[in-house]
Amino acid sequence: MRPKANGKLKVGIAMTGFIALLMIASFFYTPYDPYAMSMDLADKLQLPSSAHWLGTDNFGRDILSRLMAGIKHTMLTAASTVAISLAIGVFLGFVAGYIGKAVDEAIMRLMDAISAFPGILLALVLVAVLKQGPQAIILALSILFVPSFTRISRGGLLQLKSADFVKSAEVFGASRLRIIFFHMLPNIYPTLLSSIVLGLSSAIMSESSMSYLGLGLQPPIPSWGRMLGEAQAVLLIAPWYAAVTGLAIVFCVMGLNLLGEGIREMLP
Amino acid sequence: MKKVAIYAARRLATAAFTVLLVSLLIFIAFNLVPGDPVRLILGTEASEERVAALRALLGLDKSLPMQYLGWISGMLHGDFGTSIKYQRPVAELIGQRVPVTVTLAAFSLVLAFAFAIPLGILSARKKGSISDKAISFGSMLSISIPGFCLGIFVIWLFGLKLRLFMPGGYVSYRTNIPGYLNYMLFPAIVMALPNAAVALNYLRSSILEELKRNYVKTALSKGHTLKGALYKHVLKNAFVPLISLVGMMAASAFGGSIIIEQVFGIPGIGALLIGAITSRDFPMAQSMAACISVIVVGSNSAADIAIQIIDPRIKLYK
Repeated sequence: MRPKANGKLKVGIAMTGFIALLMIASFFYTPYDPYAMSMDLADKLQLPSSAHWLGTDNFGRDILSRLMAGIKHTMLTAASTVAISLAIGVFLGFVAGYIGKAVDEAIMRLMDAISAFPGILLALVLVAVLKQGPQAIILALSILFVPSFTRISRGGLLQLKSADFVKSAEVFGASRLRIIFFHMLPNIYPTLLSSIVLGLSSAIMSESSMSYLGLGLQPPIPSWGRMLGEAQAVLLIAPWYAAVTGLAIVFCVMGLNLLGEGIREMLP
Repeated sequence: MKKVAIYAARRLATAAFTVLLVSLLIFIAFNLVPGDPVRLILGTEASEERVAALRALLGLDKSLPMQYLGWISGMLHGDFGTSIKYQRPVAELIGQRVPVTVTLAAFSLVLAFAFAIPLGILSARKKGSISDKAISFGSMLSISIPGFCLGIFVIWLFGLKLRLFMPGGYVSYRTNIPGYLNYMLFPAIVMALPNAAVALNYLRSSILEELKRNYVKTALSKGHTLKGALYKHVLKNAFVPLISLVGMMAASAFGGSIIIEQVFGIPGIGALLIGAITSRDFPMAQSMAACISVIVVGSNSAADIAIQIIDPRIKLYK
């Protein structure tokens, strides 16, 4: 029986879909060049108008164009982070669950140590020792997200170990790898999917926080977090700049959160 | 009581092990720096003598395991190393800023529960009503706003529009305590909201879970009103799982303060750490990272032990 789609799921799909459309559109079209600066004072910090829907920033760049162009950098960072941590996490979780005993204990204690760390601190430490840039951010955030994927896949595997269909596959002589990938993974997949989506949203939050601190994506890349940092400096004279940038971040994160929660609520 | 003591001892041992592991990871991370850290600090132009002098000062002329042991035993004796940027002991620099960050974290925890408890009770009592839905939307919203976004909004609304505080005009607790608390209130609210949302959802589902129990039926059949049963019996039990949340929330408050201090221009531990990282002051960054993780692991284990004392029926560990 197909579970019924819930309200959260629908709203989440709509919001995330809207962001995805804007991102795809930005590859072909942005209203202005997101990198084109203007020396002319009159072009700087313009109020929203029919020419610049969301106004211009302190360098005379069109804010809407920069927000649109920023989506792909944010999404790329978030997606790489989640992909890496998913691969490592599922691998470690299956190893821990299948081998058990000392290996299990060692992996899970390591995961506890990682999650005992405040996320932002780990990211800061790694950014400090690596060169600043997308690679450092992606590495730092991937390490942070590994424990949750490890726990989910380990838990799922332990739960399924004694399931009838796994036992019968064993009786039929299926190899361990075959059982894991063809029998167990499809059953863990829905739980993983919701964590993937929630992981994306928290990766976007962390990336924008790091970029806000000036330790994330470096200029001139239009990063939402950095834009908000720039907007804070001109908050008194151009509050709409901070408002639209902040709303963009919140909209994107909330859409993904709703989507993730919606998927989770659909699970039996 | 003996069982609790055994549990506490075991929990502390786990915590000590975690701290040790974390310190090792921090040490490895800081020693993986591509290139020579001394050259990185002094620049490529520095003379050989200066490089050798700094190397000796930082203890980098010893082998890596010796460096690690030296660092750890120094930390245990209260010697956190020397900051390159400030040329002062790291312990002293941290000590000066601890009160600020602790105030902020404690303030935000108190506020988080002040928001969460009444709203959690309300939304559980009026499950499915408009107010329940509004509270659930509000809590969804507050976990979807990154701290710095909310911080900037609060600066704009309360600072620039309503003029309840002066953004960027941090008031030290040494000169003016009411002014200090007034300034800290706003960052504390920002840090409290996401924690409040988590606690609220926790409390709501915990109350709803308790309401299904038999003792509630007994109380109702004895003639208690639902409200009476709720306040007399249910809440006492529903609050217990919330305690384990305190440790987690304290940890996230310390993590969150790193960013919020930056947003509001508060000279706390977070600002010190970010300064250490941007100026490549590695000895300070390394010791600070270790300190913060000790605080985090410590508050988590303290919460676990507290919950065991309050309700020994709960089994947290095998």
